[in-house]
Amino acid sequence: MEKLSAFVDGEVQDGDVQSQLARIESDAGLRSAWNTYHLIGDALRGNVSPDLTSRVVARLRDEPATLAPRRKPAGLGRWAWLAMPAAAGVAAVTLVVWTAAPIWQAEPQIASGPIAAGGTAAPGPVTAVSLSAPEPRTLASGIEVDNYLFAHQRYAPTSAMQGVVPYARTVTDERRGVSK
Amino acid sequence: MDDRDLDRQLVERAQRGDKHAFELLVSKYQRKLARLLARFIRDPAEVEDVAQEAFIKAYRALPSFRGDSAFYTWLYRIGINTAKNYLVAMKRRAPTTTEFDAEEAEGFENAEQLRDINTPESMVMSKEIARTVNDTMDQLPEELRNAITLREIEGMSYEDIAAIMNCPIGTVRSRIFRAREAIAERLRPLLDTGKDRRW
Repeated sequence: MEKLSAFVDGEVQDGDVQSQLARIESDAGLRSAWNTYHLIGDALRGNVSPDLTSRVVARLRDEPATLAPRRKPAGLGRWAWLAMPAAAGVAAVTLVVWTAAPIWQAEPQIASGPIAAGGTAAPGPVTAVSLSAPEPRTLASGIEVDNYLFAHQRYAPTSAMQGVVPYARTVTDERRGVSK
Repeated sequence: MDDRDLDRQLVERAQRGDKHAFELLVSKYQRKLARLLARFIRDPAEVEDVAQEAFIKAYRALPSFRGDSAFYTWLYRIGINTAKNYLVAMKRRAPTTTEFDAEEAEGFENAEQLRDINTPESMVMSKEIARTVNDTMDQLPEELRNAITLREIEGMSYEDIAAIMNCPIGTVRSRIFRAREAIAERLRPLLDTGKDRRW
């Protein structure tokens, strides 16, 4: 009974709760003591009135047992909600890179680095684009570049993202037209 | 573990279909809820009906109770809504939401007259119970009286009571139990004579 008194006050170890509840539920004497201890507390606080428990219990007999779904571990749902947009973002970036990669790889052919005064291209700063080029190119002069571009004109990309290529092609055409 | 943890465990058991666990919660909070309702429903018989209805609504709503607030705070809101609906149905003025708020729910211990929550028939019995409890308290050894007063009136934990009374927690536990049993011993003859109502 001393255990029950402490239990009424919530003063028991966590591990004892289930066993104590099981005892109360199976022992009418303990349930009666639970009621009396609460009545004493209420009376000391100036609050005495007839017990409603029996009336409520009678009504509860007609109620279907309530079965709440078990809760998921805390945080799992939130992570799932964060993971879905993150995955969508990664997929979108991957798609853009996959689509634009051939275009980006075309630019180093004309912009691999500044051309040195001696006619050889100075080694440019290391970039991701230069890694994808098979060999560093050495361009002897501006005319060689023009010739190269003219010869490969039909393989040049035609989208709006091709950088200076259309400009170079136009200049080359004009120069060739003038020389003719 | 504290009082709120105990309520949480009782609620979880009730949510798994254990009606006995809910019965313990009803027993624990019925008078507190009834006194709250008596502040704006003057007829004690109606207070009992509305309190009973509030408990049934709470039981039906248990699956939606997630434990974000204390059980009594949640029950308090259900009680207020049940009372409002009742008063509207009876074409009487319902309390505004500002008259009662959830903050008040935890410390709702205003002294009310017994007549507010007792019908004329239950009045005699309630007075007798109150008198017996008070008389027994007066006759208790001081250390028992102080221990149960600090617990039931002041709402202190055993640890705090032990610090105030300068004794081990086990002694506090024993003193509170002995005080309760002394009062219960005097009450039992009264409680056993109830004809059609439990107390």
